[in-house]
Amino acid sequence: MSVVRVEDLRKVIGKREVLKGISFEVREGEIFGLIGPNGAGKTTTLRIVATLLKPSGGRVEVLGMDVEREADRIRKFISYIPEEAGAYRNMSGIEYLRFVAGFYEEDVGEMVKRAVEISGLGDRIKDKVATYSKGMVRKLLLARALMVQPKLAILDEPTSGLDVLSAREVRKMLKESTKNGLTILLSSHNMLEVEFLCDRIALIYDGRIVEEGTPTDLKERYGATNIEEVFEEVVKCSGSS
Amino acid sequence: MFWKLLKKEVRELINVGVVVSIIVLSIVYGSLGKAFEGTMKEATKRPVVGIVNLDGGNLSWLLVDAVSGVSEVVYVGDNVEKAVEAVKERNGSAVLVVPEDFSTKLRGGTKATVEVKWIMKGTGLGDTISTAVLSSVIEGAKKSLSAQLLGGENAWTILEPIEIRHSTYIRDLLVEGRSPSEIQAMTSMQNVMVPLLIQMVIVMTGSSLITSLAMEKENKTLETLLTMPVRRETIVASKLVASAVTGVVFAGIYMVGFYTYLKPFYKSSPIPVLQLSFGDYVLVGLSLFLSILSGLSLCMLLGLTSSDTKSAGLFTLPVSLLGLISMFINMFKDFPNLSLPLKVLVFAIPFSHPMMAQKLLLYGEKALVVYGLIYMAAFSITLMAFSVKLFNSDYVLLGRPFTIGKLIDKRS
Ligand SMILES: Nc1ncnc2c1ncn2[C@@H]1O[C@H](COP(=O)(O)OP(=O)(O)OP(=O)(O)O)[C@@H](O)[C@H]1O
Ligand SMILES: [Mg+2]
Repeated sequence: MSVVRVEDLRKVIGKREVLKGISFEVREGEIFGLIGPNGAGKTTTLRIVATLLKPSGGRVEVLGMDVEREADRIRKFISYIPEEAGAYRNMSGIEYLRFVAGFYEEDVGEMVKRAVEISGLGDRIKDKVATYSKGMVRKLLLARALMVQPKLAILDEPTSGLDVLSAREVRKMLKESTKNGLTILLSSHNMLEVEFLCDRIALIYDGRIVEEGTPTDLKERYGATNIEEVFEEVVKCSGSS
Repeated sequence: MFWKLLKKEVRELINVGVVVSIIVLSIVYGSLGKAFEGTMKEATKRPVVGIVNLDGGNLSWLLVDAVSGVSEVVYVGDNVEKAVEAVKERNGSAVLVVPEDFSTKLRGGTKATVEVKWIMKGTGLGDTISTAVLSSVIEGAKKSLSAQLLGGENAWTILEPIEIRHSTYIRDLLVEGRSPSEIQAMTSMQNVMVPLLIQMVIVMTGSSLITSLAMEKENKTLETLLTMPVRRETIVASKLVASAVTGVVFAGIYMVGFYTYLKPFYKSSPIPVLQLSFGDYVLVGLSLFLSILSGLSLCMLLGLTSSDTKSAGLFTLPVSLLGLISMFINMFKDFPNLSLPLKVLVFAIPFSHPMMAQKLLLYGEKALVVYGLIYMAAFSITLMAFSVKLFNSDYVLLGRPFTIGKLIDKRS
């Protein structure tokens, strides 16, 4: 069963058509990566899947539910982390986790316990979010997103701003979570990360998907040694066509 | 769910800085009031004087009696220096010197002189007040002397043949025993203070709402919140209620200060007919509540258009401007006396209603107050519905509502 189904998705912002007919599917338990240059439409796509923006055309379904008509139901099953997101600065980490946990039906204590473990923030979890570094906030948000045990996590550049070791930890954590049935849709600018993490990749360029496949497939198709080369090649071709 | 959100919003709004500044302001007002009260007490206290009577005649003793009846005389004798000494010792204000020829001159039909040696403690406002009281004491003594000189039973009547009794109609309301200037003096304080207070509450609640919205946008916590299983209505309601509650509490703290500030002015003599019944006060309270809600729903819309906290302050400007307009119009003229276009304008601004509710109720214009309540309820419900709509649309994230391009696109 596919967790996300996007069919000929179009999005107009202001006067510009930002998404020009995007189609892809994310299957249960896989990590699906959207890559593409700045302004290609990754964030816009993720926001639509996360029920934040409304499609201007096409169909988007999450767990078989329509994002426009059944947004309220979808929200029970997804976790979304925006790019460069923050948490309430006047709360401590643990207060923030408790606050969010209150929106879900599961036991708050259980969820928070899980989140504290995931975050790896240790004692700092009791400090105010305002005193956290960028990476610490990111970890808190990831913990928040995973503690509710969503069916689908939508992560916009999940490791941006993290140091090498933290990024690795996060990646390991994400990979681990999929074993428990989590499906992840993410965007990234880090090609190494994408290659390591993603089961399948879609390359967005100027509001269109120009390539899609497993990292191995793509590398073979372009005779490249890594995804960065694939990216370069695809962008070059798309730009000239 | 709602309570969790409400708690979070209230926590966000009540930060130490705001609370401290409000308490400090309240204390400042309170102590101002206390200071005024002090000077007023001083003003009504009997002045301390010394009297040097060099004359000894009948009329001079009449003067002494008249003065000592209304003041505290600490010295009567014939030594000026001793008199000054005695008065200074008691922190008094003056020594009256009645010269030798006082009685003779008056009996002979010429004006007599009384020398007043003032003892000034300082040049401050409070310092001069007891001298003002003494002046009126001397005025009283003058009248007593005139009456004595005139002689006869009618002397007081001749001196003051007419006494005026004022009654004033304010529209349909008859205020017995008060002149317009007295009424104005008594209501002027509240004419200024009540609108000012309302203005303050609305701007304060409004700006905290806008700031909290802008903060959520800046940190993208709103974007996260909107993907959680919470209804948009709940988010909007919790934000409104949190700002309203904190705003009212803050205003309450201000009120305590204001009340202490105003008390000495009001205590003098409340006019019974100018007071409202309990039911009327409920209407005034309701009016205030609805106007706060209207202001907040307006600020909610404005806040949705602001994207960062720096510009957030700017967005309360239109709201405070509206408040100022109705405040000034209300200060200068009562609603029923306005021209029709101004009436429409004032009625349309929700903040006018609590400012004028009290007066309108006094004038027996209850219907107008009720219409105001209905209008404000409709106003805030409409704007809130619109806010929920915006929360449900792309606008809350993209900041561009319905551009022409999109409308054309939809049609094609
Ligand atoms: N609020 C907005 N108003 C107008 N245009 C917007 C808005 N947000 C995004 N866009 C436009 O939509 C297009 C896609 O933007 P999007 O944020 O989806 O790109 P992205 O792939 O996430 O880029 P990046 O890698 O820089 O995050 C861009 O051309 C951008 O200019
Ligand atoms: Mg992006």
